[in-house]
Amino acid sequence: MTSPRRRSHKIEFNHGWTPMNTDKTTKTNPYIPYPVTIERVIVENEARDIKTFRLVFQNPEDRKRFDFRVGQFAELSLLGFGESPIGIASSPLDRDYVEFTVKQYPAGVVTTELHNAEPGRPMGIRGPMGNGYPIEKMAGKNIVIISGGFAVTTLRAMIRYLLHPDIRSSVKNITVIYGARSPGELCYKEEFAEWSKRKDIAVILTVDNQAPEWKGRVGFVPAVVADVKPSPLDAVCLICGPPVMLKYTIPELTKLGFKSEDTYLSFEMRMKCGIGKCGRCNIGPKYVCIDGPVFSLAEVSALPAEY
Amino acid sequence: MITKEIRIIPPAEMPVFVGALMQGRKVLAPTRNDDGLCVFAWLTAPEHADWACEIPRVPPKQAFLPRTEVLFRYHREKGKETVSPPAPPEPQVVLGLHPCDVQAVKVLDTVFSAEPSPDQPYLARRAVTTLIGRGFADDESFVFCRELGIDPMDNRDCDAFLVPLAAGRMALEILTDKGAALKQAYERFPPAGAGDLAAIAEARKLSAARITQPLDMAAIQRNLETIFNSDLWDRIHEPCVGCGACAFLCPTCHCFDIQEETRGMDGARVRVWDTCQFDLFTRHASGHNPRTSQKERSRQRIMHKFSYGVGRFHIPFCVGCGRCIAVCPAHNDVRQILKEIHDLAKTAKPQDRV
Repeated sequence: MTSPRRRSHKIEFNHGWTPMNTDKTTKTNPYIPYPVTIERVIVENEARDIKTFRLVFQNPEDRKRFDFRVGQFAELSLLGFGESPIGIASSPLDRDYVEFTVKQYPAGVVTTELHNAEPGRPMGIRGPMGNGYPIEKMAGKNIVIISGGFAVTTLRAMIRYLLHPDIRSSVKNITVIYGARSPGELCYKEEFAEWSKRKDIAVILTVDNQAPEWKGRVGFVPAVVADVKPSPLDAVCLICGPPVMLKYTIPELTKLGFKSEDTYLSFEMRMKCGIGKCGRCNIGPKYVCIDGPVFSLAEVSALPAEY
Repeated sequence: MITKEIRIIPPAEMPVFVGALMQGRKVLAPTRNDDGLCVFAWLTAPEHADWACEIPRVPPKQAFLPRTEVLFRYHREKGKETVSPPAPPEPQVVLGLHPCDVQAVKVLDTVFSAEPSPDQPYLARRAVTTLIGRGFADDESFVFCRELGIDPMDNRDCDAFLVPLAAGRMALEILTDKGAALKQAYERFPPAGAGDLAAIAEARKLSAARITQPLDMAAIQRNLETIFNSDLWDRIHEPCVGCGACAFLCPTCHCFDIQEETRGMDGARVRVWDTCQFDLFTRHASGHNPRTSQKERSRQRIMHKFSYGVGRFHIPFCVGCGRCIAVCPAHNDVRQILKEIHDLAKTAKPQDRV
């Protein structure tokens, strides 16, 4: 984990001493959110516990300051209720708004209040936070995207981004495998239906169990990956889903020949500050909020399994 | 550190000095609380500063990271919300810090000034703070800062420093411009004479000679990287009751929670001390918790202090003040744990690694 240069560094208090710099100040209070307004609320699933919130900045110049990469996240801030760290579900090229897809949990004070919110409600967001997906590394590569359940949010942002006319030519083939328990639990249904018709992206949708109206594949994501056999040649794979999906899909990818340095996962953790200070989102020495949330499988395998 | 000047304060005059510091400044100093316990607290009267205290149980971190701190206030109306930042902090002095507590402030400075997002509320408080350290010739039984290489007579990183001399007299060393800005408070006292200078030098010499063989913190960090899955962690957490006193009273522990304090349509977003020793610290809204038991939480505390902190910032998150040893209801002793970690590496098995 630690580079050789760091290793050799003397870490006793009385050696390599540098005086404290106590004059460093900053004008930006990182805890004050940008004011935004909910413009649209879209119910994503049959269970109605996953909704997408389209937010517009009350001060348009704040949208420029909120300059994000795909895969980054933000703290959604509801005054009087608290904050919740949520991945950004829209593309950076969706310039007029930002979208977040949020699952409501009974224990989640913020997610519950958010799910009760209607268009026009003011709220705040802090961010963008985290590292995002390795866009630079993806240039010129085949892209394989694998997701399950509502973890698809930042990968939906990635698909929107890659399919943008200015961006599409920067990568080669795009293959998307996306699964949910039932057809009603698939998010972004209309978008996926549209993408399924396009020639410049291969979309494979699957559900766990056969349903009357369902015409797509039936089967768990790992089995579908084994069956579809996406090629690892010149490919970068992005994968995001529930732990059980990751547990069984990653061995399939390894079997197919995907390198651990070219396979990326995105993590979730309980967070408060989102800026590497409050001390709760670390996996071993890595903070998910500033070193992640995206890690390569190679990085993850060097970390303790404390997630 | 270049000493600008040295003044001698007689014991009877200490309240005069403290009183002068309190003119236009808040002063955090060792004092006795209602239970007679020695703590760092904001002085309300100069004579409350207690020079018999060595390591006050409540550390001075509250000067920069208050137990409860308003990050901003807000007012809500239907369709409209307004946010107002708190007033800028007032000038303050932290008086009588043990040199290990000074190093703890350095740890906090390192964390809170780190990119990508320097912590504005912390840095604003830090910028208006003058640190006056204090040397100690003797150690309370639980203090082990010498083993970490911290000399209890060392004045580094202070703006001014008090060296105890015979008969309760104190030598005040002025070390920085911030220290010199206290001129009004110390100019009435006489400069140190040749005898005083010799006494200060002798005290420093004696103290430095007592740092014989500091713990090898680099070795401890390396060892910790190899024993994440060691059965050490199955043992050391067993007596722990998970009270979190070690973290709350640690001068370097800085983990915090952000909470809402709301009444009607008005409220504040506040930062409060928190600890990795609590189950709720890492529990997701979904119910999932990556650190399910006290074993993981005890390991996190040791790892954060001696491995993760060192790896990221090249500075241990422990200064050997020993507060956690003094207050632990289960008599857990971090010195013993460090010794075990030191020895364990020799017998660590490959499966003990991550």
